[in-house]
Amino acid sequence: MTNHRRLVEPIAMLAIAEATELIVFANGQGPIRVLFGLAFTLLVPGWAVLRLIRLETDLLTWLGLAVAVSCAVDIGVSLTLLYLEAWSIQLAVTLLVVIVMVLIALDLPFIHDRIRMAAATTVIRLNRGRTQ
Amino acid sequence: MTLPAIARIGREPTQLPLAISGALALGVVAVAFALWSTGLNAVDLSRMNDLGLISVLPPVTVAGPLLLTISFAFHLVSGRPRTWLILLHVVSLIVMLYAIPIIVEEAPRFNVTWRHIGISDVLSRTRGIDPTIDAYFSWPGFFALSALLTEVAGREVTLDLVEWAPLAFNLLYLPALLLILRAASGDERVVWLGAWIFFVANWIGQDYYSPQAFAYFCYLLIIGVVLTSFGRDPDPIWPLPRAWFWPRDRVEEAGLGPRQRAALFAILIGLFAVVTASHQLTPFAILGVVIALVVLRRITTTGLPIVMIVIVGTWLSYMTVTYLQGHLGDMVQRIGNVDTAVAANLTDRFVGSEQHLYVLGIRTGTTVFLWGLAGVGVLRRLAAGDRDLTWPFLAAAPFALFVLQEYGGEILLRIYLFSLPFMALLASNAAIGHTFRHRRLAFAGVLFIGVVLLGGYLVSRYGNERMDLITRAELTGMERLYEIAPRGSTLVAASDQVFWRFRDYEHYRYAVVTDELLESDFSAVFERLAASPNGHAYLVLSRAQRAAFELRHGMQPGEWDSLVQGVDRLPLSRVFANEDVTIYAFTEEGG
Repeated sequence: MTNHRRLVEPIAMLAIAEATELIVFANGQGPIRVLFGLAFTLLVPGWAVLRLIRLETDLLTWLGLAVAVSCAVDIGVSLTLLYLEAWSIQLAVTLLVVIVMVLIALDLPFIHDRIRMAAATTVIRLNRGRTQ
Repeated sequence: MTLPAIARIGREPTQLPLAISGALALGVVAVAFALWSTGLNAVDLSRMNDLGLISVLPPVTVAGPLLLTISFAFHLVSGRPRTWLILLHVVSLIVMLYAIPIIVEEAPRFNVTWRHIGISDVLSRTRGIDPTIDAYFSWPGFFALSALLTEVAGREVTLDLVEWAPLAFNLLYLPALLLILRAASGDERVVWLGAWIFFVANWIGQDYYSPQAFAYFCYLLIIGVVLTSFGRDPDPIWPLPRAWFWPRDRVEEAGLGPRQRAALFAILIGLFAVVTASHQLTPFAILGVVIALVVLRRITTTGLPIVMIVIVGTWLSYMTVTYLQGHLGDMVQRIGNVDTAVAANLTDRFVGSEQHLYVLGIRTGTTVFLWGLAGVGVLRRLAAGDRDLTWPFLAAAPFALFVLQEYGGEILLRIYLFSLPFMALLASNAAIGHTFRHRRLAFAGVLFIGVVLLGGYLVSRYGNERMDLITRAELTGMERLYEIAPRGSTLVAASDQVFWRFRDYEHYRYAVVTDELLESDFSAVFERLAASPNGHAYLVLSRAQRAAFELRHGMQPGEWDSLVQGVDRLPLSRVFANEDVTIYAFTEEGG
């Protein structure tokens, strides 16, 4: 992944997420809501997941996977709220924004490196435990 | 790299410069679009007969996709184009095939679509899921997504979302389909022809705004990812002979790291879980294909079917209890009842007007043609020394669903759909084998397949359009019905070809009196209305119902009018009428 993508994509995703949240809470209407609302729900969560796992593939496959994973996350959030009888669009969007923020945060270089180091350390400890 | 990138179709030494061939292709695509759209402006839907949309499509509209087919065949076999040019042709084809109703019709087509709008509305309005309403609420995944999308984008866009769904779903199918096709063939010509065949042979029409359309997208994607990211050289279990499943080229390892493998596995599980929560049948189709891949040891994730079975079992055991309590016995009884399935899917369906029977014949012919082509493709692969029977095996796997149940007379349609990616691949092999030597022959083959399937598609796909389309007058009439009828009323229609339940879904009772009206038993119709628990009932007669009676039941012109006269004689009051809808009211006080 290029440095350009590493920097621009998280900013764009956060911007879309926050804009959608603002529009939904302000009950804005019109094409801007359609554009941001659909872009956010159908692309952003999946895009963030695919970035996190460092998936490298062509744009077409990436888009297909991003939409599918986004829909899966959307359904997970919506079903949870519906079964808890706590559904509201504001709460659903807030949860999705939180999920996206967490995914983006996990992908930040210093956090990502720490997680990798922690994972590597755990593996070494486990191996030591086995050999002892 | 984890998933295969789009391989480039190579440029051969004797070719024209790319700029020239590219400009030529762009020009042809532009002309094709111009022809297609010009014709669509002249469509007069009121003149449609039982052949469906094809009866009113001007020849110039058909000339658009035809020209595109010729251009695609030329570029595919010439080896000149870049991948983006072929992609442009395929995307253009998808638009031309699936956007026709969006342009020529006044409202989202197909009555079930409107029911799905109503279910999403219930979830948004009640903020919960009540599984006692009906079966849809035991598999609410897609409707939860629909509720989210319509609310996040604004409720006024609901109809736009619904109307554009077939085009959007088919565009989404493309990347997932390419994953499957690339796992099966290293020849990009075979891959792209397979994609072309898939879209031009997808006349089933299950891509409307529905759980099955979304689940099918996941079906393609799950199989595509499994094959490309977890594929391996086959080593089928005993007694399947290894030599029958050995691919011509070794399966490339995806080169995934352990964390990427785990993450992709989790994504597969997540996608399968949402499919399970959304649709009754698709999880079993996915399971069938994945089990087939495991039996052939074609994938490394041998535990995947077990996880999938646990997910399906858990969902059925806990989340669908309300539905299963009343239906389990009936469902179990239907398993293995092949006679009923054959009757419901074949013999019972071949009824209706002469023109409708012609459409049914074209549908059967298109299916036989595609499956026959797939058979030829298998033979060509074998003749070329490719003994890998994995793909015929996968194409056959969905047929196991036939044993499960007749699925409301639609199981054959679903089997066709689930086997379509593999059939399309094998049919592609019929035109372009492993040995790509005779270019002119290949061009003729691609063109022949493309033109035959295009003709079949235009008749088959939109063959029921006379009853599937919804006019503005019908929309006005049905909206008026919900304004007139108090909650708790019973709404009655002559045919199930009526779009309703899009508002206050759970607050009305619904009944269909087709049999009573076909027997001209008007007193039975009246009794159904009088049986309404709250004393209010409304009978709706509409243009689409008349079309259904003539198309499906072979009713002659004029018979519907005498049927309406019979209804007029009942002690009902006519409370609304426009050119396409008439509403009669029964009330205990007045009835």
